[in-house]
Amino acid sequence: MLNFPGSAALPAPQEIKHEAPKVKRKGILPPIPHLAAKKTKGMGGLVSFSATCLFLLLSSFAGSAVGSVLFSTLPKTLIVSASPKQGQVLRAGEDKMAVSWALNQSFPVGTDEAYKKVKVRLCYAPVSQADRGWRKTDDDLSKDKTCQFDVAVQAYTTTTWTSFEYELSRELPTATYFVRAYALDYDGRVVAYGQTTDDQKATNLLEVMGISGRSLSLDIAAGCFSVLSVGSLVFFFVAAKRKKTNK
Amino acid sequence: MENPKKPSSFQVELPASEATRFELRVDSEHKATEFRLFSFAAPHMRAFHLSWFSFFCCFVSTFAAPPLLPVIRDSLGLTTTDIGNAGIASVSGAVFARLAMGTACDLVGPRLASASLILLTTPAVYSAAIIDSASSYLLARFFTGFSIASFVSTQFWMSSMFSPPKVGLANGLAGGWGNLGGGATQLIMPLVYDLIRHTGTTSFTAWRVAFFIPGVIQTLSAIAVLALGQDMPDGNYRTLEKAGNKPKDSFHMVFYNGVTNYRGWILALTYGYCFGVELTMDNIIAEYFYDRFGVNLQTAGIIAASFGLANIGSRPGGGWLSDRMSERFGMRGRLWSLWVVQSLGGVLCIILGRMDTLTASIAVMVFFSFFVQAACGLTFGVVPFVSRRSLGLISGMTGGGGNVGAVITQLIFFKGSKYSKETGITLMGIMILCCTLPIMLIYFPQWGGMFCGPKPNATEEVYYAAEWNENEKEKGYHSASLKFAENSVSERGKRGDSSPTVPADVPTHINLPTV
Repeated sequence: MLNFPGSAALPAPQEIKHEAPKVKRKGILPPIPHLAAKKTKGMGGLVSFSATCLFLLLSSFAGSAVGSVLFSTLPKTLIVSASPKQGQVLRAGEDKMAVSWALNQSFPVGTDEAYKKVKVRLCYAPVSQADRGWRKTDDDLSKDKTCQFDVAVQAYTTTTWTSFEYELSRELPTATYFVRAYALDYDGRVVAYGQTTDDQKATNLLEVMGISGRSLSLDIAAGCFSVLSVGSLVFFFVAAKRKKTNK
Repeated sequence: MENPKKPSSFQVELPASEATRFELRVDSEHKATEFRLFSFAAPHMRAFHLSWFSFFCCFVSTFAAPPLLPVIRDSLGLTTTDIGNAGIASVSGAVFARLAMGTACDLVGPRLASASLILLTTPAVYSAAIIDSASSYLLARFFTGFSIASFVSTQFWMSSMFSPPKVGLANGLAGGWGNLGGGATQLIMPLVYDLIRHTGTTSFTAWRVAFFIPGVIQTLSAIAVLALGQDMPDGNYRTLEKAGNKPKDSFHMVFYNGVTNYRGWILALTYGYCFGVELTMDNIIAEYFYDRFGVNLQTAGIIAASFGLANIGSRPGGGWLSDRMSERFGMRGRLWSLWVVQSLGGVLCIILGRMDTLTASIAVMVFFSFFVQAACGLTFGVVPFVSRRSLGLISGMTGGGGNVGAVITQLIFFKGSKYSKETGITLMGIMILCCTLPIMLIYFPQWGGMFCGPKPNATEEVYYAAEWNENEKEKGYHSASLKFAENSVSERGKRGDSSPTVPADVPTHINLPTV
């Protein structure tokens, strides 16, 4: 299955089951006598189709209310720091950066009792989200598209600092980022977070330069095929002219 | 040597000795009177297959970027505005190119005209290897989009190769199967991209490599057109003109006659809201499903493909419906069916934008695609009758109008982040309904319009002969138009007066064949 880079780590949108609920004719609905057996089959198909549509419509509302976490409800209990300095431009696929996180000690003891795992992700800063709806921030974490790249997923430890050296993926586009760490509980639900930037996502941002994807062999191939196209046209024109003068 | 003033009889069959030169049965112009889909016989069926396939390749290349946009937009750092602008650019190039193609076909023949256009635009497809910014992306899509002007050459070529009883079918199939490319590309490109990724290539390189596939096939198809095709059943333009078999019309007169016919302008507008909508959907549909419903790239491609793939039957189906309606109700039937089908397309478009679930969206989209593409076929059921002298120009105007509709629609509703895509789709549906209303204004004196019946004494001969001035009529240039007028009496429908009137203004030295 083909996946857009980074999307495998996104929480999947609520899956909707596509089963048509069986329509039973006894009970609430009175039988309709003038419908012949053949028509009933067609009617049954139509009714189950509309019932499915209704079911899907309703469940689409239901899905958004149950089971998804709102970012605004999360406490910012983790401190996250990344090695690049302000203004430093990192190159995707080449440079590395060190990311570290720890619990903010100003919170009462026992805050981190539920934390089992820490998921660290690279997130787009607002300047890279502007006019790009596919990177939009949504309070509902299952719909949020701010953080699309995995840096690390590690077990939560109560030691002061945990570090990880991250090699920038070649799939990273040119953009401005910050690092965010989510704390997950035993059920895999997000219960807390921390990030390298402030609440307005304006300070301490990282610049990454993505790879162009170009290469010399590609350039040469493009040139050759273009010459072949235009050249074959010229060839046919010349050949046609030769035929005319020979006649 | 044949007298160039002798009128050609379109439907008279040839003596057996002359007919055996061709594999298919032909009329006196050597145009085929039968259509054998699975034959590759020269020159007729070969021309059909060469023309629809090369047009198909142009569509694949023009719309190769949209299904890969989720990758390209990050690779090149595109914003929604950049994507919208490039989408507009991809269809705007062909607006004037389609008009120019009509003239080019007249001057150098469809074989050279289409092959030249296709070979000269293929480098824009290969440029995917080197582009690295929003502006270079826009330029690449702009120049690639020129290639779909080859629509006009397919219709022209089919009209040169096939006799009137089969020309509608040939035109509809060539046009419809070419448009298939817009759907096929939504399947092909993600598949090719996936295959390249499996070799371990990084995504930002893989999409560049993927573009070579449509590019190379496009180059090869155009070379095939040059090597294997010929303009007319008897040979290529150059040979025929030298032998004096093909008279030349005046470009100025053809142009003036075409642009002063208001029906051509109305059809250009309405075609903008069936074909233009189809082009717009080709540009936005994959991204719409990917972003709104969270399906992956390949799934979005499959769903988007089903929109364009419906062309395999829906567009020819529209042409067939137009012919059936004309049998019973004449031209009024053609106009009514066009209005009804296109308006239903508009209603379905409004509904599509309101659908919140994946399954419902797909279902509505499939119905929507059938109606909007059938409307394209129905439009070209009316176009051949608007003008006989300026048929190429009217076809080019209508075709160009389709692209204008795509440009305007994308400019208003799908550029930037002003409207969400689903709102844009609903608003587009409302615009379809509004811009389809002008069909009510089309009126043929001899056949009527949607709401008015025909004028009592109007005839087809008067309508088509009026395209020529007195000088030209004296020289007999309009004789082909008169023959067409006789054949077009069928547009009166079953209830119409079936006896053709004898034309009163034909000079006596021209002999019309008796039917």
